[in-house]
Amino acid sequence: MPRLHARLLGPATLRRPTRRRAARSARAGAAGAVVAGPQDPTTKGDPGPSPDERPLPQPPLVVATADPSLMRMLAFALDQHHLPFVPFTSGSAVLDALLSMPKTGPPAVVLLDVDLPGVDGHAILERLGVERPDSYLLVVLSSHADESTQVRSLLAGALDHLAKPFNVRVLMAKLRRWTAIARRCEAPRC
Amino acid sequence: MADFLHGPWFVDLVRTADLAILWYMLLVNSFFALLLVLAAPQLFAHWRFGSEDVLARSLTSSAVPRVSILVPAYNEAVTIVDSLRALLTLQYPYFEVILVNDGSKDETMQVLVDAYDLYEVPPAVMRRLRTERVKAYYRSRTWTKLLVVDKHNGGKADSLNVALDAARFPYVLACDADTLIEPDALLRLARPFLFDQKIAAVGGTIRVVNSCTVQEGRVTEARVDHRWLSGIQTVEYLRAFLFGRLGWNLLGGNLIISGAFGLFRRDYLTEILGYATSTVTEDFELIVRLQRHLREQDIAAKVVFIPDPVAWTEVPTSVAVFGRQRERWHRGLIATMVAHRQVLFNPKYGATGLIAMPYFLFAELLAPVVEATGLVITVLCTMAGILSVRFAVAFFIAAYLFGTLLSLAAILMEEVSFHRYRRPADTARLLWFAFIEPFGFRQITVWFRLKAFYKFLKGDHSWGRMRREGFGATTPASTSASAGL
Amino acid sequence: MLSLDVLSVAMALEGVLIAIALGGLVLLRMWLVARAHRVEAGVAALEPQLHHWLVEDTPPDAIVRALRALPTYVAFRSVARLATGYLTFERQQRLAPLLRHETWVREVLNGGESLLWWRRFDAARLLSIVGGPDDAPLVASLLSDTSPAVRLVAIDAAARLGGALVDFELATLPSRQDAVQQYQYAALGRHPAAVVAAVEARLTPLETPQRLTTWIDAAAALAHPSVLWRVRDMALHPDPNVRLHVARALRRQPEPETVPVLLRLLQDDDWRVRAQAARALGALRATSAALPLARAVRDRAWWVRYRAALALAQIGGSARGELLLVARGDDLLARDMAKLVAGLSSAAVVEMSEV
Repeated sequence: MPRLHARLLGPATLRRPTRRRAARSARAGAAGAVVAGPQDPTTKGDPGPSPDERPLPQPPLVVATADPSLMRMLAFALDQHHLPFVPFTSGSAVLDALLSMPKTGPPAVVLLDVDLPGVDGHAILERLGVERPDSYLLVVLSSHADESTQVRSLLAGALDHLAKPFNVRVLMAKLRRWTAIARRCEAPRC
Repeated sequence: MADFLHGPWFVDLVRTADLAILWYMLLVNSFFALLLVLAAPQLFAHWRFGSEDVLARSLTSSAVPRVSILVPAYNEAVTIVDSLRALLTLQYPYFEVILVNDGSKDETMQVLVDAYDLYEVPPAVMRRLRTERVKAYYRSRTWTKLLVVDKHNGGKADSLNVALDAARFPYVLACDADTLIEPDALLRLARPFLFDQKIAAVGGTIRVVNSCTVQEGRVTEARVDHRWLSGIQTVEYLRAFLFGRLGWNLLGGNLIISGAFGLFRRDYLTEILGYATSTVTEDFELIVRLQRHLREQDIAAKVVFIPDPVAWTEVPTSVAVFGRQRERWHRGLIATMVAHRQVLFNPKYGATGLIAMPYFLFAELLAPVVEATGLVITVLCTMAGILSVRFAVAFFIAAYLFGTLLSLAAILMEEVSFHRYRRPADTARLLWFAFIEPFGFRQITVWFRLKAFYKFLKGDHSWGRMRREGFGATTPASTSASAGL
Repeated sequence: MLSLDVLSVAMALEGVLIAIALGGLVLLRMWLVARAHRVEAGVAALEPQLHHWLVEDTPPDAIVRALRALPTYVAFRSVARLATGYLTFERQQRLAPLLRHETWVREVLNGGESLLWWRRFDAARLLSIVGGPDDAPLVASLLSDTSPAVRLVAIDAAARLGGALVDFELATLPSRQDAVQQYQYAALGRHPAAVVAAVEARLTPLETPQRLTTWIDAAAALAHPSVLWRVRDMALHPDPNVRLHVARALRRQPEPETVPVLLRLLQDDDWRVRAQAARALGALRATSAALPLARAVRDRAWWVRYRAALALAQIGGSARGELLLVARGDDLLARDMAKLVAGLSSAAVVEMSEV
């Protein structure tokens, strides 16, 4: 599915891919993303709309999970909903990418599977809480959904805590909502 | 002289002695074959339960016990950050990690303070056990699950006791600082709780990590070392864990839960006053004492072994270090058996007294003596013509061939159930090592274990301070260390 | 008797048996590998259909047809794996009626009466995905199976039956170990309406203390207001174990009337009851309990001091002020505990009070 492949390359539906955004997605891609490659051909040679009708920049959507089947399903779902995203399969890679993302621009919406190899998802939450507080809309995905775990995730700074197995359609609706919220955020904090 | 040696009286004596030794070996091997038979259905069952969908479903609940992980550390500055991080990122909902710095002489403590952003906390801990003095307690600003205790040197058992006091959860996992525990190992260890069993202790499998690929504290690819010493030990560990311990589950419970990877109920450990600092094999001694306590107090809790949770440890690659390890294990075995001799053949202690302890006495403790005697008699007397070649052949078969067959069985069971070694080259290596084990390795272990007798009888109770040598497990890798006698 | 000949025969016999076992293992391995490959292929074939159904909400007929085409064990294992990984309870409920009468499903479910535990296990597993009210008798028998693994999976199967077996499940509960009870509560929470009435009916002073603690724990897991009122009424039960479970359960009842009850339990004779009462007060963020908790930090029992200090830290505000006062006070043990908790990061306070 070449279209899907192209969709996986980062914020490819931007009307005006700025140098900074391209650099960010390149860095994110280099830091362990599953796929990397050329930009979506539709954006090349596009003169871009005039300043008044220029839409707000799309916040990056980061999906981090080590489960390949889950990644496949999310990729399919995000493709159907025209939501471009950057995939990660290792905890340390996603942590590095999040720590090195620029502090301006809309915050990234991060879907983080807690059962990641390398660095534990909760540890990522704690690190981000210490070093880049409130800069991301981070959603935790976990097999455990009991009260204590949910409360811990939320109090550690997560936007939401979802239990696996989750409802994909509901998640897509939530993601659209969250990216809309992120878009309206004032950088660098939300 | 030659007349005497070939005289009927002496020949009869030698023949009877050798026959007795051969029967002993056959019986011991039959017992191992029995363990194999008892292990096979359990292995099948656990392989079934451990498969991904069942594991994922039944263990995502909040029903699992809360565990405090106890990690004694001594001079681990080089590896401590990686091992600790691997522990802190285990896939388990409720646990804490208590690391005890046992008065390290290197910069272990400084490394920890830097890497984990430690801050000192007041010693508000309930002290129930007598230990060496604690210098300070620390918590981490970045990892809420971590507690670090700095204390004066007192040995591994002493450090474990300090950690035991500081633990806040009802179950504790004792492990070594350089043991690599797999991410889902704790979840798998919790299985007997979900199977409605009242548990005193649970043990998992220890595997050999030499020449495996390790990234960020996790084993990403399991390989078999090509060097003969570590290679043969890999086979040995497979045998011991895959059916040695599993078989014992059905014979009244295990008498060994490795100190590198064992889950215990904290209350019971506190009741028996924790680990004994006066022994060189504190994990074996602990279980014997625990089983005694359970029987004496009429507590119906079990000591079980589960084959699929895995912890990896490094084994010695030089004969000298290996020898010291085996000598120490055997010396500890002797000392513990002597100290708890009233359990032997005592019906008050149930299966522990009537099956497990006698087994350890005859098939483990005395094994090197019998094997050495048999070897000496058979070789010398066959060469001298006193015994027929048939005896020599029979000895060879009874002593070594059976052991090899059992190793083959273990390797095959591993292939069939867990299949951690993906490459055919590794399986081939395992088979090769299983075949060459009787040619040198077995004799070396016999030699070192005999040395243990000598040291014990000499009164060399250098139990005192058992300094860690950084190569992991202090368990008698057991049953089949002497298997196939 | 001890002759070499007898020995030789014995050894030969044993050797042959072990060799046969080895041969059997080799064959078993080959068979299992072949099966595993087929299951992988089955899962791979099903995934796209599943994605379409989950994401676009197309009718699931394609999935049913695809499963029908596979060999029974492949269909079963694929469904088990995919259901665990991707299907919410609600989605499984939607898929279940379509699959229930498939031939391969009936074949697996017939194993529920087998003498072989793994067949019963598979039946229970499949029932936990596609079970329906008609399967109640089979589930009931699996719930009281001799194999604990079958019983565990049968608990999930019972959750599919909309509360039909609630009384049966509750009957077995008191004799089970803690972990199994917790697992059962989570499954019972799937159909709260039926369970609430059943648990409420059992929360009477006439029950033995041991059974009563089980019902109280069930009530806490359900966290339903009306049931928890009944629990609150048991706060003055003569048995300290019962009071302990009541205190633990009341952390799920954030109502104004709960606080005075917990404050009374904070003065209980049994230290375990006091500790749980302190914990519950912290969970409820009861600001009015600041002073009593500050007194409790000076308790003789370590656990009470610990929970009380954590509760003060959780409540925050003036309660935290009380904690800092104790940290400067003259009671040595209380001071150490207060300083310990006061110095914890907020994440650590959450971790230590939640878990």
